[in-house]
Amino acid sequence: MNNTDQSNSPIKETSEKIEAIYNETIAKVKTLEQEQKKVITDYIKKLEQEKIEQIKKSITG
Amino acid sequence: MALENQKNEEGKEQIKGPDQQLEKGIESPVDLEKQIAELTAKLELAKKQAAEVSQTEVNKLDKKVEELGVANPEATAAVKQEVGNLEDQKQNVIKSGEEQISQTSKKTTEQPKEKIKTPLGLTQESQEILQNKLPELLSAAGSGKLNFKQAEDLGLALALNGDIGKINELIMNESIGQSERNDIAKESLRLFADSGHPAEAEKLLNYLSKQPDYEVKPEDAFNREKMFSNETTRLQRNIAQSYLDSGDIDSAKNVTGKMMKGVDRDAMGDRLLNKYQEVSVPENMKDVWDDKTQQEQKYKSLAGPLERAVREDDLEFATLISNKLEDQYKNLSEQFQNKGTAEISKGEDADLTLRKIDQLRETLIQDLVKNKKLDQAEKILQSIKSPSVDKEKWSRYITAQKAEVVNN
Repeated sequence: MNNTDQSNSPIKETSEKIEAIYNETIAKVKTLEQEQKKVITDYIKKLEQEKIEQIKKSITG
Repeated sequence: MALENQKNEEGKEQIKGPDQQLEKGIESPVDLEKQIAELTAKLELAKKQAAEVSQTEVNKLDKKVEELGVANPEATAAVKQEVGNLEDQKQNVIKSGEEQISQTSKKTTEQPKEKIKTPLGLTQESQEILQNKLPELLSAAGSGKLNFKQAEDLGLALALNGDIGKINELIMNESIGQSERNDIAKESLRLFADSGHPAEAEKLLNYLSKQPDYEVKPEDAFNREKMFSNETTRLQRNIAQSYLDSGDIDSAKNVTGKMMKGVDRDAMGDRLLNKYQEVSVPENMKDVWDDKTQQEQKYKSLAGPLERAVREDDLEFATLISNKLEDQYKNLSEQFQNKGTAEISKGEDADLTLRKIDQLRETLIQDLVKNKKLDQAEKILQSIKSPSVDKEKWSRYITAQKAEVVNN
């Protein structure tokens, strides 16, 4: 059996498919994780902004 | 120096080993299983980590809210809800990944089984190759330039198509060498016999049995005194079994009768008798009989086949049944022994059956003597239990016949 045959073997093909599924899954999870972080960060920024506004008001008021 | 060089080379080999392994990648089912287990475990871990990350982010949020002291509970709850939804999505993505991996690996492990199960015992790949070669092979046959390998392939390819007509045409075509025609028949016979096509296989076996230069010489199979090919027995057994499976008991019996004496033939004989008994016992009665009645009924049910075998002059089969009857008679006798009066009527019934069967055995002995099968006749005579048969008379007659054979 030569190298070309090996690269086309069903086991190798399956192995590559499985690896691709795994990598894709992890990538999707990472994207969702980033999204989660962004939601939290944006909200914290908003809260900080509100806090700043509150402080400004208290100073100017 | 030379030794040192050798050591260095070995050292290089040792260093090279793992790299080669990496380059080699996954090539065996074991490697694949390992990879699947590893990636599934990683995904399982990813599930936990994902949940932990979500919780950490929520904690971070709570802490920040507390630090800032900005009270907006509704907005905070809405953010937490969104984070929770995203967490659900992450878990679903991981679950889906696990399922996809499982299904992909299942498909691969099922592939070899499919290959084995393809019709006529050939892999899908081999079948395709043969089908593609068919036009070329037929052309070679047409021009009379068929070598033995091509002849075998042609037999296989045509059998794959179930084209017994074309096979017949080719094996009768005298422009093709006899040896090549035998190869066509031999390979298609093997495929038909092993794949539940008994009628086609039987025709080809009969054809080959008439070819004097056929190397396996299946005709020897019909001479029960000679050694012969196990392959032929195997094929005959498969043909008989296929007939039996399809309910064609008579054809199964005919093929079994042609088999060489031995364990295969005996086993087929037993299966035939069981089948005869199966069909003799009414279906609706099977469940209600107790063990003893079943034995009795089984015994009775052999009378029919024995009667027919004797009537049709099928001495081989009649003898087989007769021997089977003897075994069953022993079982029955043991069961009737030590039984109380309640069993008497059944015992009488069995006695009547026995007498009827012994009469048939007597007819069988008559036929065996007529056909000069005196040893067999003697054996059957010894097994007769009923006093209504004059065993002494028959014994004297057989002895006289034996003496006559010796004198001649």
